[in-house]
Amino acid sequence: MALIEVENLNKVYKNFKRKEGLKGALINLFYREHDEIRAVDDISFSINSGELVGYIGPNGAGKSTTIKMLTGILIPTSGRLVVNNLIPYKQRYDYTKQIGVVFGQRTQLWWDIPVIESFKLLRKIYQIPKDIYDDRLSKFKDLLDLDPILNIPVRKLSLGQRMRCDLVASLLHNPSVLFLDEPTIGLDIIGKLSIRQFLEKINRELGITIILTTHDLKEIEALCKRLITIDHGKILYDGDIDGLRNRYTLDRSITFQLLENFDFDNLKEKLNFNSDVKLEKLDQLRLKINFSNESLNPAKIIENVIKEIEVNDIAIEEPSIEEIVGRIYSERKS
Amino acid sequence: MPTRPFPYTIIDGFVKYNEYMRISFHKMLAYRISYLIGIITYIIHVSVYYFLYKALYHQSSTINGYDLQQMVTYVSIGWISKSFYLNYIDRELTEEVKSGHVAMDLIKPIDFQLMYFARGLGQSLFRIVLFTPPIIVVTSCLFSISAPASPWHMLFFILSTFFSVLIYLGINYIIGLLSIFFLSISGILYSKNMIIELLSGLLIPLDWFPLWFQKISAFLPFQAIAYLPLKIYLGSLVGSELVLALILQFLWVIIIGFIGRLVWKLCQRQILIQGG
Repeated sequence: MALIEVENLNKVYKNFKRKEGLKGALINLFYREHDEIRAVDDISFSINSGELVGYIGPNGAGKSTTIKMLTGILIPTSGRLVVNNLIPYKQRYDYTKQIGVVFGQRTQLWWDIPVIESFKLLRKIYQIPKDIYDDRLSKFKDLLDLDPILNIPVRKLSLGQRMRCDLVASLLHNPSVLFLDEPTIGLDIIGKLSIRQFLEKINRELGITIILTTHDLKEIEALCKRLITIDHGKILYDGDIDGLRNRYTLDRSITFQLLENFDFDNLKEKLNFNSDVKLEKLDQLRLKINFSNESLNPAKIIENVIKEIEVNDIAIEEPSIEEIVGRIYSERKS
Repeated sequence: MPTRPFPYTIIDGFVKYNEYMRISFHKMLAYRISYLIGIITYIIHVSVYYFLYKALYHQSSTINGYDLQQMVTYVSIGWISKSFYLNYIDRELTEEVKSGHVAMDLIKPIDFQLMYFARGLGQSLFRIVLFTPPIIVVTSCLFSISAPASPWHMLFFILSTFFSVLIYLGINYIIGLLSIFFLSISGILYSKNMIIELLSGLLIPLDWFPLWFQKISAFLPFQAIAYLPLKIYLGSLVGSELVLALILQFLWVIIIGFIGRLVWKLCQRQILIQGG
């Protein structure tokens, strides 16, 4: 059975409408109209133990609402949600012992006191035996290079250092699922990289199931095998990253650096590709050919061009995952 | 992890919240300047009321049954007690609600109210160990404070102020929770402080007020914060009156604790449905 099961999950927020102007404000004091906002709209998915899933979508797509429901701090309006045989919001107390949560924008560490004191507090809260706690902490300490920062108050840590500590804080009680809401937001490349490697390692070695939301699609590409895309509360895509590439074929392109000036029209005639393939003259020495996956394979195109003209260099451009996802979002809007 | 048998769960539970106390203590240590300024503020408060009452007693030697010596003692001991029954969990709660940090507490296996009580007790503990002693020393050097009526009265006074700590904590917890329903709460916090100072009898003993006012305040929890313990210290309450005062305080601890739980239930529903 799957570890996380979500079926027809909905979340509707009620927001009261504010009327404009002084008159409106006065009316609001006595009478309020409500608007319904459907943040999560009938989504279903299931996640198996040990998976590392990326959950992406633009701002306001319903990512955080889903994560909040999964972590038990938001009650779904309707639908079924079971994690590890528990219903998060109903059995919150027991459920909290099985999950770790990191919100990139918040910290669960105590601001004014050294990091290690927060860890000690967590040990008591989760009632972790001393020897197990020491063991885990020393392991994480090595992996994330925490030794020099454990005795510094959290408010003096850099964002990257704080994030590493927050990750450890969410893992001390050995949760079976780890929820990460934008864990690398605002971090530099090195910070992102070290967290990425760490997540990969704990997923692989400790078998912790990880669900990760992010805006950084490179991160998803590097880390996750599976991707769930959500926008306007609905799931747009659920599957692996290659599947996404194949499904949303985008134009690829090849740019040829030529050895001598060329006659564009003449070359175009000679090559005689079908109408899907678009030729473009970038400058005297560069020719760009745009094509889609379905029309022709790149090898064929290169072969044909080389036959006709002398080529110095070739660059093939793949659509980045960002472009693909950007296209999904915009398709959805139109 | 298997659940441990009954007596251990209580011990484990205590250890868990005890840790919050320790953390709060630690947190208070982080701010040395506010610690020093705090001490000076209390000395100023006591001095102001000392000179005020001294001027008042120029006319007659007793007012409403208190002589000047008793009044100075009342004010000094009143502010000395306040120096440790005070806590800031109302503000902390408000800040956590505003920043959305409450979510981080909801994802931990803890009881929200007990956690905040432990944090408040941690603050009080810090104050009684490091904040109150210098205030006692300075105040008793500057003004002449009477000893408690008897060693027994001292003992009951200590018990009574312990209840004050819990009642103040309970009220602060409820007020802090209200921030979940209101966008701005600074006005409420400010008026709460004013109301407690007045109705607890810290500024003026409650038996100086008109009878109707006394009758109302007898049904409110605030008198149990300062007025009752101070009357015990002065020896004005003896025998059954004293026992009754302590029972009344104890009842208020229970009632306010219970109301706090109810309010949290409502708040939790608000947070869980509207996302804070």
